Amino acid sequence: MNAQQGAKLPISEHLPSNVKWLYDELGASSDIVVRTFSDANTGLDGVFFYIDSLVDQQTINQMLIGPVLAEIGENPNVKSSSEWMGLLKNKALSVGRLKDIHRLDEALAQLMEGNTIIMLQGSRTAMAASTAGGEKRSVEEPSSQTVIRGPKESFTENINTNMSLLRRRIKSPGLRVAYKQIGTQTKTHVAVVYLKDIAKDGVVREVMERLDRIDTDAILESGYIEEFIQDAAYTFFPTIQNTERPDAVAGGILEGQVAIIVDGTPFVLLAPVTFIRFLQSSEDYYQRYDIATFLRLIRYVAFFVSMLLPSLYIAITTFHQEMLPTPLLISLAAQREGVPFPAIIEALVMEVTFEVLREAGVRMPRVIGPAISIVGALVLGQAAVQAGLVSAAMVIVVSFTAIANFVIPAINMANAARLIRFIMMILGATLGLFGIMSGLMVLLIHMSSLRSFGVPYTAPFAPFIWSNWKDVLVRLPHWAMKKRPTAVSSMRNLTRQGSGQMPEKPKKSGHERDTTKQSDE
Amino acid sequence: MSLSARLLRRIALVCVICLMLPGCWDRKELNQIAITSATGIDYKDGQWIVSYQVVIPSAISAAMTAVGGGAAKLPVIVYSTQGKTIREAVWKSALESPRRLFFSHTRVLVVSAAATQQGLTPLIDVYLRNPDSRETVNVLISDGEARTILEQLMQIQIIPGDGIHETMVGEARDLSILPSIKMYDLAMELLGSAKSSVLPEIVVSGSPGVTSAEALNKTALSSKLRLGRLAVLGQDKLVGWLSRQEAIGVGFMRDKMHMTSISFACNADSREEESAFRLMKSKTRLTPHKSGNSFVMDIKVEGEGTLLETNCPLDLNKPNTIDAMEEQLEKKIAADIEESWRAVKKLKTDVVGFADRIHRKYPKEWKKLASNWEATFLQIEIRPEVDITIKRTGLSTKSYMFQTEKE
Repeated sequence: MNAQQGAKLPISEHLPSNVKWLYDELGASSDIVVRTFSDANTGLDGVFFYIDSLVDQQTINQMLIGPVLAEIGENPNVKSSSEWMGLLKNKALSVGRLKDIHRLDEALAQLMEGNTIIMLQGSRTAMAASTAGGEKRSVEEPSSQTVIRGPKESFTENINTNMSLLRRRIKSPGLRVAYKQIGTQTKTHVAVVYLKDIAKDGVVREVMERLDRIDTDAILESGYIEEFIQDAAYTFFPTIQNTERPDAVAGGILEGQVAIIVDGTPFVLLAPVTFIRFLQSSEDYYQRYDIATFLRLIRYVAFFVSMLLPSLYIAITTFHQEMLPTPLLISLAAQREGVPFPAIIEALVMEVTFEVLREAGVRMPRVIGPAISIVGALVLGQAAVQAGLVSAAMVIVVSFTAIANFVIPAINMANAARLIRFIMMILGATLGLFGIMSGLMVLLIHMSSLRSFGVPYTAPFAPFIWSNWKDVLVRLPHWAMKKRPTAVSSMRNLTRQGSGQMPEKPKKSGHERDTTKQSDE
Repeated sequence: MSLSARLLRRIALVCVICLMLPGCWDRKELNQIAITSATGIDYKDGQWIVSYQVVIPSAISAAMTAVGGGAAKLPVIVYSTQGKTIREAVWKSALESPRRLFFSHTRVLVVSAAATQQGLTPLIDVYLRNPDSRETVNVLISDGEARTILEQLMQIQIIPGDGIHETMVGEARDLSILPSIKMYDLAMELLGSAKSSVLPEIVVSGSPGVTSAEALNKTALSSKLRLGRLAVLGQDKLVGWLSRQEAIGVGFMRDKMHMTSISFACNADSREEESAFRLMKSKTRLTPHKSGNSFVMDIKVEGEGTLLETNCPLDLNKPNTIDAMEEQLEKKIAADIEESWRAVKKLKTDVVGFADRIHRKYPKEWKKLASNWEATFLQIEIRPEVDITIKRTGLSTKSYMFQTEKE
């Protein structure tokens, strides 16, 4: 990898040596195409140099080779190669992005991008024409973050497609994009996107610095970047959000977040982020505010259920039986008759079984999916209870916990709850409710120590920012949320919408106005 | 890196040790406890005999889900242990029970009259000292052995202890003749100025006792549990009994009347009680006054409710008819109170809480009175003053009798 960076070879006038150098650098790979063209009358001698697998053949044939060959023989007066160069640039090459290059290593980098290099004998300048192509997936519906109401587009693996999805949503000239290349081998394109005056300058600078610090040979997914630039390494909690929804990214950018788009993955990173953002869904803003608020509260409950329910069940049934209502206690005790394991083992067995099923579900071929669900539901649920291995109540607890886990909109936060659940179960089984409360306290202290790009993770609870509460536990109507949340956004441009936009009953209804007009006439 | 890794490893070790050392010692699985639904206390030959009605969870869930047919399993078992102290007896249960007794869900405590002769103080101490036995348990008294009460099965409530509790609570709410006395009520009242309290009685009426599945499998049981008289406790021992009729006035004087039904006569001359009234709300105020060496107790009862039935030929549209009815009711309640007062005086025990009232109003005099409270108590004169409001007369106004007599 050093050979390419170290070499700062200028393009020489001798065309074959240039071609040979490039050819050798690429190890004479079979997908290299060198198309020569010449005009004996004027002494023109040139090549198109490109890598077959990276380019769009049609563009090369119609926009480069075709027009150039058409010029040959038409211009008998042209003498020098630089004149030819000018002629080709101005008359023949009909591509948008055309770049003059003067060094061979630069030419090599352009080749790797899928561009075509046009070199002429006797010219120290070459041209790189943008011909990047190759197969790409079309824009489809999001597979992991679906909504009932809202846009059905999702990002793709292609960074240009992703940028266009984003640009089309935010047409402000203030939308800033900065491209970077990370990974010495993969040279992955990474775009940092933010809105000027809405994102905090410090955050933007910090994002850039952290991205520049990354020294790795490969970035294959945004997860690589996330692990390099996140604030806390030893934590269950994600400090960077990811989404495959362009509307969610646009919403984040409009609240002052910085988006990091990575080529080759539909998952875009958003930072800085606070804890509550992981429990908000983009659909919250598309549905009416009352149902959005209700669903949001359900999600908070589900988060705690998925984290705590099995541990609470274990703690209460093995340490605090007096807390249960008598009929419930008797019913639970009846179910536990003959169960051979202590509650914690029972719970761990069921939890591990479920995790195995879930992992199997991800990896399973679609065809045998139904078979596995039958095995899962029947064998592991009903049969285990009938065989007396686990109590029915435990099956209910574990399945409700599992369902609650899927309510959390962000998968990385759901995973955090999933892992914390096991720790809580052990705490609950050894120390009872006291253990669970201690665990929760440690968790709370840990959470309030976290930061995401300088923004406190637990904002707006701690530090307490009352003005940001309009979009935390409840979601107020859009006309009531006049300002951006100050925890994340820059203070320079806080106003989101004008005041006094609450819909009101008109003084005189439209219908009445119409009828009075008619009667006047 | 290596430093933080080592530190992390140490923290993890400390966490694991923290979990291992203090954890788990009082862990008890649901199938290791014997859920006790009722406890009975007897006393015989210098030993406390404690009986436990232990729930059999599997039998109960079978009984709850069974759709007829099949031999019914009994929901509870009853066994007793004895010892010099109550808790010694409880722990002796380890000799015969495979599961540890669990008292937090005990709904009723039945004390035999013989045991109350020993004094309830040790029992109260047990309940206040131990976290597993709750002082919210309902305390009842039985004239005979407490164990026979626990052995009696119930039909509609599967767990008898639970059934006794529900009956007691329902009676105290809907009829209010016998109060529901919880362990802490008992402890508070026995510590009060009067040092006395009351306990409702529970009896097995009829014989033989329903103690087997065969005996239970009938529409009419040979015997059943029912609430009986009101036991009067003085200085934590049983002093005597009040009949249910006598208990009504005590209920009013103790301000424990919530709802009740009262029958009353049509007018002052008639002897037949032909109308019924449902008392929905009642409030009693006791105000002591000094008169010479003795005291006079003003008993002001304010109540309201609904007319339930009337066979008097009256037109209820007329306000003075209602007034007359209210007067009849007031007279009736005042008579009840007088009757109770005479019965209480006979037992020479201040279960109506007059001592508290006088202690509060005349704290200085109380110091002198306290030593010889019984003599003063017997000289107290009562002045009942009852104010009843009939708020509603039901769906019809004129009585049916009134209509038929007109034609």
